[in-house]
Amino acid sequence: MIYLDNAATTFQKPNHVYRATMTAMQKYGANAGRGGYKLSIKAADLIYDCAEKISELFKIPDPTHIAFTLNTTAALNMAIKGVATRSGHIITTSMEHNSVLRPVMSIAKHRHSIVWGDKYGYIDPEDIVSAIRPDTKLIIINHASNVCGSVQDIKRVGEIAKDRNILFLVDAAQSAGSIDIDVDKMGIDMLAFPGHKGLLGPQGTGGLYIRQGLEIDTIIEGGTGSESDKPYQPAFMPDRLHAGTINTPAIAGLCEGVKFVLKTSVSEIHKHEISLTKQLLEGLYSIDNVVVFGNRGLENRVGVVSIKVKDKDPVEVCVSLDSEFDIAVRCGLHCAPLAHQTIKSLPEGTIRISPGVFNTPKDIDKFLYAINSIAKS
Amino acid sequence: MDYAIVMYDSVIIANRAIRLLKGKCTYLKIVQVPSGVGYSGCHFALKCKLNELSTVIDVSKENKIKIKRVFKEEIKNGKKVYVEL
Repeated sequence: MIYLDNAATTFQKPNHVYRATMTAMQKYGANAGRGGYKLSIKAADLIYDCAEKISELFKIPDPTHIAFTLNTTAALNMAIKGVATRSGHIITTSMEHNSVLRPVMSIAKHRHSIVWGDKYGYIDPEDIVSAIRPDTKLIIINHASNVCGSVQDIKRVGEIAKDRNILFLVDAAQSAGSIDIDVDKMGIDMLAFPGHKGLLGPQGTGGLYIRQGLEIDTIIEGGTGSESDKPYQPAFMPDRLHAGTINTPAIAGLCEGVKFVLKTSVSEIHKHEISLTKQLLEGLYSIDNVVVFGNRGLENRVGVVSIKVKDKDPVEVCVSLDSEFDIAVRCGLHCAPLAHQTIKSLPEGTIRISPGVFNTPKDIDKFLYAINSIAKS
Repeated sequence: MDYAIVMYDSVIIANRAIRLLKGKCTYLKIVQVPSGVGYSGCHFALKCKLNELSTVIDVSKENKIKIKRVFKEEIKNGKKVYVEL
């Protein structure tokens, strides 16, 4: 089987990830911070270890300012609802996933602005400047598109936000582990990231970084293993956002995934993914009846490519790829309807190919052979 | 040997402190804070040798890690008692 849906979740993972997850379940599956015994302390140590590795990756000065979450969606909900539920104007973009659009619509239906990207999926930061109002409280931007792979200039957007004292939230669902991120240099106040995509951890992992000095409201409260004599959620990180038992075995796996990324280096992973993307794009351009959406070049992008085959239903194409060629790709709107409106791929959406760190040029050759056969049929 | 109990906000924060103190103290252990200190509920601390307490405090301060309370562990009449420092 050839797996080319790494934008949804990476599969396969480094072997250490599987082993560490199983070892945590078998050897020290106690509840972190819920007891003073050795196993519980070991579990807490492991969670801190993972936070430390993530802080190394994103240049976060203090690992205790990372909260582990179920996924990026949970992290984004915590961040958006944690700062803007009651008041304030929110600016976001047409390239966002529903994990941003839906919470924004839920709390700020009449106090938000959408900045539209160009047909290649890029946001002009100056359009964000134009959307700022006196009451703008939060700017949210998707670092890399899960639809067409466009990478936004978040450093510039971070400067815009900082200059105007507006909070800046980055959705790193497609960029974490594929593009270097430096929270301070990029002016990021909050960073939501997945554990199960580019960081190569198990599903059910993600995280939210909150910069020092920023205290956000909570959307979930409960036991933290700290200050349990008080009926209020602690104010300090990470306990403020760590209500309930943490998924220690999965975080043990995530820790190994992050170690793999650090050891391989983000730039090498990016280089590999871009090399496969180059091969993929060159092959696709030579096939009649295939339309490529978004950026046709290799600059400012990640390894996510959206296409359609003329006069064919994307779902039917994906079914053929799966059943006849044993190739897994995703079709449809990819939970990002406005992004498809932006790149003009509505209503049927696209076929998305997203190679990952473990794909090879041979995989791309096989995909190109398959899509060529389907396009000609 | 006399020991000190350095209380932090949480076990994760105590973990941060113990890593920053690696190689700087001869004895360090994360412990649940004994109820004898007068705090009920779950709290975590670093237990260190009393004569190395200043190192723990200094490193915590250098790294802006909040210390909630510091106690000296004493044995009186065969029983552990805690004196706040």
